[in-house]
Order: sequence, then structure tokens, then C-alpha cells
Amino acid sequence: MRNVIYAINLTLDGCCDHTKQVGPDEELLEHYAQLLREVDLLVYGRKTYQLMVPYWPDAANDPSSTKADVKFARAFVSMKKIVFSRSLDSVDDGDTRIVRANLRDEIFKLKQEPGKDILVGGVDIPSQLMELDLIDEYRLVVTPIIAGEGRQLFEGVNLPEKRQLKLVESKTFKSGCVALRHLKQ
Amino acid sequence: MRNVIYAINLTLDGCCDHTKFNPAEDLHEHYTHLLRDDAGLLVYGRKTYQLMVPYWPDIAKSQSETKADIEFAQAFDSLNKIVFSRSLASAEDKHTRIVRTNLRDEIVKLKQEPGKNILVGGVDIPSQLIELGLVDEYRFVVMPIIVGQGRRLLEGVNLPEKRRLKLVESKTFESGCVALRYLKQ
Repeated sequence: MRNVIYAINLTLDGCCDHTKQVGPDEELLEHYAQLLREVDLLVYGRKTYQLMVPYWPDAANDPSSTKADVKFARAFVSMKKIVFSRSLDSVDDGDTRIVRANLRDEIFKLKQEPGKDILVGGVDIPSQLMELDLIDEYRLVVTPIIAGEGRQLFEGVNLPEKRQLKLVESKTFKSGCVALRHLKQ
Repeated sequence: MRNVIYAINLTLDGCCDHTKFNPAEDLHEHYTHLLRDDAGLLVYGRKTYQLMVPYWPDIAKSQSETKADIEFAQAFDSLNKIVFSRSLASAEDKHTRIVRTNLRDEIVKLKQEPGKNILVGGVDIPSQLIELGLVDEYRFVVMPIIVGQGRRLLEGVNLPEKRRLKLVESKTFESGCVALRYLKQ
């Protein structure tokens, strides 16, 4: 069965609002490009999807993009994507499918299909998947920032009890970011 | 000048409420080192102080706890302490001084006195010190747990802008905890 991997950047005080962070440097882009090589399907909600598309497809073709930008952008563009949305009518991107049906059933079905792992991003969809206990692996990057405000990871999530995870990897970057990898127990 | 060090345990989703988790056994040694090697003075608010005293001084005197517990308790017991409180009438502990005056002035004065560093714990007092820009070093221990609730670190803190820190150390424990050390920039 394919694993569902959730990846996000967090500040030290648990803020997951991307506007409160700093843009990814070369090392972090390389980290995420590597992560994309481990998966073959990206799952987003509408908001995150629209942050990523057309931004990254455009960056892939922009001559002013850095080498690391282009590398990540190309890996991103080549992936199949699913966007969960009730309001989105259509998408330009050929590899994207809009899904309006039940999140749980759809993810459950996708997990049983053959292929590499499934990467989810954003906050709303992953929070719902976390509540449903459908996330198998967490790739959190802790940025060396105290935001003091902004949306917190898993704010308003309703867990019957705390989730104990298993740390399997920790890696520090020159920028002071720490990439942590945790598995569901 | 002495540094002010803030140490706390956090869940992956940024919860700092100690009732939501049990700190792992292998953290005792980490904190014993912090007390013995780096701290000359402990600073708390009333709530944290009353969580620590008489709990740890009692353990320091007992013979029935684990060696790691007793070592931590003895290191804790032997340090001078300051508790900021308007309501606490007196403290039985002979190493403790109650301070009712202005937090900022007192900490600025203490920083200029000779001695080892000042270790602050809890949430309210450290949050105020972070707002005042008076925390020089952070020792966060990130535990492999998601709680989805509970008080968040620096909730309601008012920062004019986000604080960028410098990661200087990262250490993982068998329990899956990750100790991160940051300096103010």
C-alpha cells in the first residue's frame, strides 16, 4: 500500500503560514526536489494548489529562475496532481484532476493503487487526513524563526488522543532549518 | 554579560502545555547538563515555580527515584532561583528569592551581574522576555508527538516582526526527541 506523506515548513513556534517564513534557499529546494522523486502523486486543496500552479510551471520556463528553482519546478511540473475542491471549475494543467468527492474514500482508494507514495501539502487537507489517521509519514522542516503570530499547524484539529510518532531522520541545513522525518506508529 | 537561556519542551505542533505529554526519560540527563554546566540562576513565574518546587527538592532528598531523576533534582535544588510573583507571600526554599518589581529592569540588572547564565522556564515570563528582546539563547526540545490542542508557544505574544534565530546545535535522542539550540541574531 502506498504511504501518504505530509510535508510542510513550520516556524519554531509552530506557525505554518507560508507568508511568515522566508523563501526556500537552494538547499531547501534541493531537499524538496529529492522528496518529489520519492512520490508520484501530489494532493492539495484548492488554496495550496493555486499557490503552486501556475507559479512553479511558470518558474520552470522562466530564464531568470535559479538552477535550483528550475530543478524543483521541473520535478513539480512532471508530477500527477489531484486537487480537492468544490469551487474550482477547471485547471489548465493536463496532469491535474479535480476531485469533489469524499476525501477519506478517495485517499483510501489512492493508497491501494500501485505506485510510489502520495505527497500532500497545505494545511486544511492534511489536517483532515491527520484527524482521519491517514498520514503515514511526516516531513516537517522547522525554520529558525519565531513568528509570534499566524496560523498554527493542526489548529482546531480534533484528536481523540495525542499521536505519538517515531522519529527516523533529522537533518540540518546551512540556513538553520532542521528537516525531521517521522513515521506513524 | 550573562546570557538569558530559555528552555522548553514542545510537541511537533507547537504545544508547550506540559500536561499534554510526558517528557521522555532520556531527557533528564540533557536537562541535568544544562543546569550543571550552563546555568547559575533559574528564573520562573509563580506557576512554573510551583510545578518545580517542592516537587524536585523532595526528589533530591528521596532515595526511591531513578538515578537520572535524583541527579536532575540535586542539580535543580542547588541552584539559586528567582520567582516573579505578585501573589506568592513567601517561599520555603532557602535558595529562592521572590521578586515583585518590573521584569525588564530586574533581568537587565541580573544579566550584568557576574556568574553563569540565567535559565528561564515556563511560558508567561519567557514570552514577555522574548517580546522585550531579552532572550539570548533558546533550547527547544521537540517531542515526536502531535496533540492537536493545548497552549501554543508564544500564543498572544506581540512581536513587531518575526525573529530570525541562528541554529547552533541539534541532537536527537533515542526517544525521538530532538534538542535544538538557537542563538539570538
